Amino acid sequence: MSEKYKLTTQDTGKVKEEPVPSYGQTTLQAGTTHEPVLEDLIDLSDSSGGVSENTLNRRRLRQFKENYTKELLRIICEQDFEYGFDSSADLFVRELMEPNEAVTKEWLNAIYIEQFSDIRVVIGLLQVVSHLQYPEIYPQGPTMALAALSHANSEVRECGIRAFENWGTIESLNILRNVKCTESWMQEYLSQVIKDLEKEFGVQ
Amino acid sequence: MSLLVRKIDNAKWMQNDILNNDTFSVEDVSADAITSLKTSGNALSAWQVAEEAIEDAVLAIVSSHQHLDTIDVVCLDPSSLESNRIRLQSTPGSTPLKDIFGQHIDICDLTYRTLGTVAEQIVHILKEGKVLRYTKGNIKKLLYDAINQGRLQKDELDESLRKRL
Repeated sequence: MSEKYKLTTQDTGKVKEEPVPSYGQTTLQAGTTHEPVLEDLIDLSDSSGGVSENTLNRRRLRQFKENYTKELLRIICEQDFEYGFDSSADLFVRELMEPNEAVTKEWLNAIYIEQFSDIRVVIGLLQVVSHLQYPEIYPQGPTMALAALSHANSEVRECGIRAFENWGTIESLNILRNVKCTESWMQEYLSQVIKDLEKEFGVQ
Repeated sequence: MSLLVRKIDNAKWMQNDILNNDTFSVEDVSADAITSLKTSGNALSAWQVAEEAIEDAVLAIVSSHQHLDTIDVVCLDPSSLESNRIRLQSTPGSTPLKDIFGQHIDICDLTYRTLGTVAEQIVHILKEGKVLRYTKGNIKKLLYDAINQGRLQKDELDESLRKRL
């Protein structure tokens, strides 16, 4: 069975490699170099002589990018997504969220910005974040969904609405109330979601 | 009159402007829309229900889900499919909704031509504005009602779906 590697929750900045179950054909490449790069060296230590939080965060994000970005993009491009069901990308990201939510969200956000012109990836990422609970993915998830609402592609915009609908918070309602859709079918959907949320929160 | 209820990914079908183009035909449908039908073993899964019981089919679909995602369904005309030499076969459905279990249909032996016929019916439905969208709110209500009526056992739903109710 193939194995992949994940970061631990230990706050040492060191990466411990441990095998976790794989999803279908997803195989992570474990050949990551953990040599410090310039960004780590700029802010090497705090006053107590330890490694600073900023350095640790930068290092972890870099390691996420090196270890998991290629794999997530491959999963999104190859997966057979169907509304209502968990996708391979859902499972992959959830596995990474467990030990380190903060870095996983930063990493997802970074991929989203870098891949904003790739419809397939943007939709795949939005479907993943919309399946996570609001507090888990806040604030990066809502920010990603907000950006989706102004995308040129209608399917991406629909995914933005879907995400806010799934989170179903009062903030989601306030955001959706300030959105206009050019396509009649999507405006109809938006109006229905707003109506559903208003009913749920007992507001007009 | 009975109907075949099938889930579709509406946004894929709307990639090319079906609604504002009078000359739009099935040949103009995007490839993503066709592949989003996801045939398996050259068949498409559908639920056969009476015209006034479409929500039973929707309930059969959403009760096997893991998430309360909004879905779109279309109602295909079985006699029109059969008159186009498309075979319909009753097969066991996968749903925790026991009272609809025997109403699952496979639209079978699909080929390039017959899948095109199904797509043609879907385009017609979309042009007529007859696609049915069930939002998270609608789906929750359907599930709650079915649970309260004893048609559906909550513990038979997927754990992930149960947590979201």
